[in-house]
Amino acid sequence: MTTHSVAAPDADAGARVHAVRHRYARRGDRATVRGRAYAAYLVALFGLIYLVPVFYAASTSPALVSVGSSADATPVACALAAAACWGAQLAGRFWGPLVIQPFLLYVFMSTDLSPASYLGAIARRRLVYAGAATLVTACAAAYLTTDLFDRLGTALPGLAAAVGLGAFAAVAWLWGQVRAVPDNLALASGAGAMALVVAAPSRLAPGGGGGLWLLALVLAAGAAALGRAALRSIRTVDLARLARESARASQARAYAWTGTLHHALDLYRPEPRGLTSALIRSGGLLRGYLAQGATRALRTLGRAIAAVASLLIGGAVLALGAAGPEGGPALFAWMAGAVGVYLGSGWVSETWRGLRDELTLPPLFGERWGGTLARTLTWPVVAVTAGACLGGGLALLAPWPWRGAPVADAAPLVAGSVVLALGARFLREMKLHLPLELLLPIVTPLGDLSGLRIVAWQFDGVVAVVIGVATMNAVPSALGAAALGIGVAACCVWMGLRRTGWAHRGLLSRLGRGENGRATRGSSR
Amino acid sequence: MTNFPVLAADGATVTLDDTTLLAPTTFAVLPGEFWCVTGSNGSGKTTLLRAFLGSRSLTAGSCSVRGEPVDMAKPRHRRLVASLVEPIPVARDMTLREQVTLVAASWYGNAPEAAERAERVIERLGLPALGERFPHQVSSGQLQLFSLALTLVRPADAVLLDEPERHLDSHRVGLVATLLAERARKGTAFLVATHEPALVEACEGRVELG
Repeated sequence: MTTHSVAAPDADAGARVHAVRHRYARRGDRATVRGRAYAAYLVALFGLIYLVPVFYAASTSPALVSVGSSADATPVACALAAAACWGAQLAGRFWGPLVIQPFLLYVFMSTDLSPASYLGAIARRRLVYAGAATLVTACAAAYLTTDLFDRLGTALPGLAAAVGLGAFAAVAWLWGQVRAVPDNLALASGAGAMALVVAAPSRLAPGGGGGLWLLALVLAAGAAALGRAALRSIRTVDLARLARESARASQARAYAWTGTLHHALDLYRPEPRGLTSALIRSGGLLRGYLAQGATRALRTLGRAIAAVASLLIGGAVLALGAAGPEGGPALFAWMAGAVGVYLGSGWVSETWRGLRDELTLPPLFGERWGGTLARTLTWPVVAVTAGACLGGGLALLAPWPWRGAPVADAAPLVAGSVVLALGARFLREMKLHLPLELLLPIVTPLGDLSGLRIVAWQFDGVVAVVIGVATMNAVPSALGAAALGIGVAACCVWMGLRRTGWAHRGLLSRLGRGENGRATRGSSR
Repeated sequence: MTNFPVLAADGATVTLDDTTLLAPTTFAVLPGEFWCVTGSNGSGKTTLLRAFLGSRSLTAGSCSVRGEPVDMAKPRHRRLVASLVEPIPVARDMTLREQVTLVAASWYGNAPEAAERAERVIERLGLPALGERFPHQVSSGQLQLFSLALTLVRPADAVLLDEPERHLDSHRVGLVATLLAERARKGTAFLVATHEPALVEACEGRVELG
């Protein structure tokens, strides 16, 4: 049974693809009409109860941010367009529009069909969905937070720019998946340059009102050109890579649906490469804890660079927010900076997982005093502290015009926020499986809020940082706020230890055993 | 059958830093021949199969299928080569029969021929009683037979198999060896990495690595 017995590849490609889709659509647990109707009913109910009141409140109250004229809004829209393009490209590298069920992909991959014949239609459909979702999200966010849609003079060009943004972001998503890294760098650079070029005239001539129209035009033209090239590239997509991405996405989806998003995210950690003999000195001795942590971080170079950038920028934004005047955007900057430090603290080190494993798995390492903590926490704590303090210090020493508080007041706030971020990271990294009690209903006049609790559990580190910073902001004294931040961090550490099954007494007795053992060994010598 | 090799390696070598994953290897498999690749763990059996599959690049030498360099992106390569080298991602919500038939339909369309071919392979591998089961309802040996069915239900000029005897008892290994030999007689070339003496005995040529 060789391939001479079957028709030429493209003779009946459409019929073969249709045959596979037809059979696959009739599989066991496909979505039923009733299931889809129920999902639509839930979405409608959610919209009626939560979204309609929010939109009504936004329409009857003054806007949070006033965009002014169309020319004033253009630079912000250009920045958003560039950020959306970069984000979409990045998303495409990990989870692009061509990702499908692994088995279905295997079936198609094991044929001689061109990928365009079975992935093209899926890609087009998903691009339409992604573009529409981006358009709706951008318009909703603009409506809720700005006065862009209050006047016809800004509403129409704003809507046109949003349509262009949706189309461009959707195409960039596909581009990120199907094109090689150099092509993606070219697009990212081009998007940044385009944003600068379109924004420049509106800055130079504030009276000109065509900035948003120009942006919409550029985005639409870019989407058309890029879309054509990206869809053509589907024919030559790297199928082996797509199979790996699809398998990983399928596994991640299963984790996410079963409530363990952190396991899903773990699947997207990069594989370590290089520096394979850097941990052991030529004499056979292991290097110190700091050198070990740094070496292990550098084995995933891209992640380490992201961590350094996140820590430096997060530290700077955090310091500017903490030193900024009361109210206004300073609090948002403080929160955003703290979240940046929190994210960087995870990317900078793999040893958090080592700590969790040592606390939860059967013992492998010895119980020498401080061994576990020193082995696993030295590097992340030092790296996060150094990175955030460097970024924050540079930001505080620079002569920013909008700084409100003196350095002496801002420093304790920065220190407290960094400790808070470390505590939140500890809490997040000690997470194991979804506790069953989280599934119990929380009955309130607003309905069952157990879903909200599960979402909070999934993103508990970010939630802890945001709530912690908001609480610190409410304390009038800088030292008091810093002490509060440290207290919240201590609570996070305590809760993290409880997650691993180590109540503080158990941990102390374990460490005590280690200390006693060392003392015993010392006296017997 | 022609004497033009279906699979040919000419000094195929893979090295990673200072480690040799596949020492220089040269051989050719003609249409209808059943060849085995043997050798100790780490000698490069799977690496060689991956090189023919196109998922592993060579650092020296060449591998070709029907005289053309290996390239998984080319439809012709995917048309000629079937493989069970990487684990097959099965659909948990489809029965074994449905999945084998789906692969057949991807080649023969939604025609009775697809169902017939699927049924024939299922029968030959001793799976008819399990056809209505889902993947989680069968043993690891039965899953291996199912993976072989998914691989063998499609037409191919060359079939690459990595340890097809995995999890199988001697009776099932015999079934597989007979099926492969029959298929080879119809013109398909086989390259099988194995530690199983029964398969080695059944083969017509052998590449010894390491």
